[in-house]
Amino acid sequence: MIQVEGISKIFKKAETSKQKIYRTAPKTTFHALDKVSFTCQPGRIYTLLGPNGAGKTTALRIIASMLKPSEGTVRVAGIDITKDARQARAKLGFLTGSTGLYDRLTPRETLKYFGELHQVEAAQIRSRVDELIDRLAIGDFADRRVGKLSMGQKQRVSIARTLMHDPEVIIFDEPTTGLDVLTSRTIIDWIRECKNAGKTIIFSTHIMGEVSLLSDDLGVIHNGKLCYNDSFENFKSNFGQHTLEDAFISILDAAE
Amino acid sequence: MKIIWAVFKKEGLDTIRDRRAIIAMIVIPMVIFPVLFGGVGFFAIREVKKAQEKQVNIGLVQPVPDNPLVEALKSKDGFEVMEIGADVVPMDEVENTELDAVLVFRSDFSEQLEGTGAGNITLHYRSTGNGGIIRSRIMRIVGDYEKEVMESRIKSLGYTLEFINPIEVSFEDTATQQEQIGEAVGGFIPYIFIILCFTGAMYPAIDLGAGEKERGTLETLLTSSAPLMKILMGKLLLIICSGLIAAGLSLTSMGLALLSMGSKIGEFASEVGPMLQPLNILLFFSLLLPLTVFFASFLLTLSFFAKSFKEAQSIISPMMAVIIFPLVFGMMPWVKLTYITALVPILNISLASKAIFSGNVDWGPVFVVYVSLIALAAIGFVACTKLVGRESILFRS
Repeated sequence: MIQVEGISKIFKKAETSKQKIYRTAPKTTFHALDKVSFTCQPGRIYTLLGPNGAGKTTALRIIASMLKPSEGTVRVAGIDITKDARQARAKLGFLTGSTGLYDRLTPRETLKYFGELHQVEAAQIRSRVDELIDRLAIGDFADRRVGKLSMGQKQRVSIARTLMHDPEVIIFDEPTTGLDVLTSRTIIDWIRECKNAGKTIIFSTHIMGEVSLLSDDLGVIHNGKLCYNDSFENFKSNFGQHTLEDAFISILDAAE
Repeated sequence: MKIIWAVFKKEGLDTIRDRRAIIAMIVIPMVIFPVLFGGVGFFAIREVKKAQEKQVNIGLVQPVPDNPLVEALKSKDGFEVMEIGADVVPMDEVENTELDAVLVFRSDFSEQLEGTGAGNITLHYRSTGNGGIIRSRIMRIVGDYEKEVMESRIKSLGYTLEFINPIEVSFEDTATQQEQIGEAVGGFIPYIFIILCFTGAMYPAIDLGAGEKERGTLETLLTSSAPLMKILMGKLLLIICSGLIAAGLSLTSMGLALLSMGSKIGEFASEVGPMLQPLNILLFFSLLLPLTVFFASFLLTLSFFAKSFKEAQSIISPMMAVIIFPLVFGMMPWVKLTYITALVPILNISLASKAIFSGNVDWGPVFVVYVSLIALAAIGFVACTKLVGRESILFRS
């Protein structure tokens, strides 16, 4: 389970070079997130929908304990990330659109490395690598360097890498950005499979089609604020006659 | 420790498969000394020898018949002398014909020498290329003749040569040859080694920091349950090893180059060889180790600060100038290792190794060098772990 309670993130706004030279503007701050709260349940997919720059990645980075919240708390599988980030990260997998792989390693070496980073027992690493290679049909290219693989093959390796330590919670941050239809479908299928395995899934996107394919719960984020947070069923009944895109825009308009 | 080792192993494998890192870490250090001593040294010696043995074609303008200087030039091996007309332009002859030099005798040359005056000759030559060697070969013969004339003039006055050389000085140098060469080469060795150590560490450092950002692997690394401190330690260990491997290989290649080129480099090789005793090398590497830790921390911090591989390269490359300056300063013969210079990073290594290789070590300042370098390494490491952990650096975009 992921419990996000009133998180805010304030960044210092960088001065432009003109402002730096002439000192024309005082240092300002930028609210990337403003008191955002939501909960993701095990066995369900929580979709975080929002336009580019809305604050989705910031929220996910805070949940993954890469960034510290300016205020608020996040619990991952019951662990407060601000108190025990390492323990929380051990329960968490993170997959982004950029594959996050090392071109000069083979898929097998990559999986072993991440197993070691997550301090999985040596014997368990071996069996887990073999299991994931088998489940994700990586076998044919398991010993070829990642740099020589196709995008679809890389994404399969990425998924295996994310699942290497068998996390309870998985974050998918715009995982299909820039991918072709077939590769995107592989990712979508795997997100569903993770859900069926009882994992807590949080999935961020700005692609409407993916929302209806995956969502159990939906949060719409805009300008750092969560302007909609409910089950996807309720969302559909509330905006019944509208297309998903129209409904999304009307939520954003209402939030302006 | 398991995590540090896992990161080190992975980064090592990744680096070994990186062509750029291999070139900087292995190829350049292995090739530089054979090229420097074998290639450049061999060709330089060969060219000088060629110039010394080359037949020099000299044109004489208005030579005095039966003049001993002309006779000496004609009789010397390696000289071909021919008389040319007085109406020629000597510089054109040197530029446009096979003549290497033209000697123009002033019309009163013999008259002056027979009396007490100075006979005037103008030597036209081209100073570039082998011109300098040709000039000195001609001037050696002119000098011998001048000495003869001077001796006969002094004798005709009833004096000996001591009359014009009233003081005879002989020199006794207390510095051993090892000390002399150690002082000259002792500054040069760290110059090469520190630069190669820095270059060897540079590419892995850029790849391990900025490369990680550029590939999009930083986020996945940070979401692992491995502590950032341990990840950084694994990375630092690899960068340190890369720097030391580059320095070690350059030492090996220097030793091999000296051994194989010994006969050609002659005295230099036979004097430098004994300086590279195991103890001296060990002492030098023990100085290099903390500096490499500092380099690694510094490079990794800058690398993580950069947004991309390219930006990291443009930030880090100019740092080479910062390193070269104290190294060049350290090569100056009047700059000595004192308790003050022992505190200046890089310069202190240069001066300490000069002392070590010349066998003239004052252990007090050398101890201060060790302490200051270890302190520098510790500061660099702590600063690296603190700065790289900052959100503003990790996610700078």
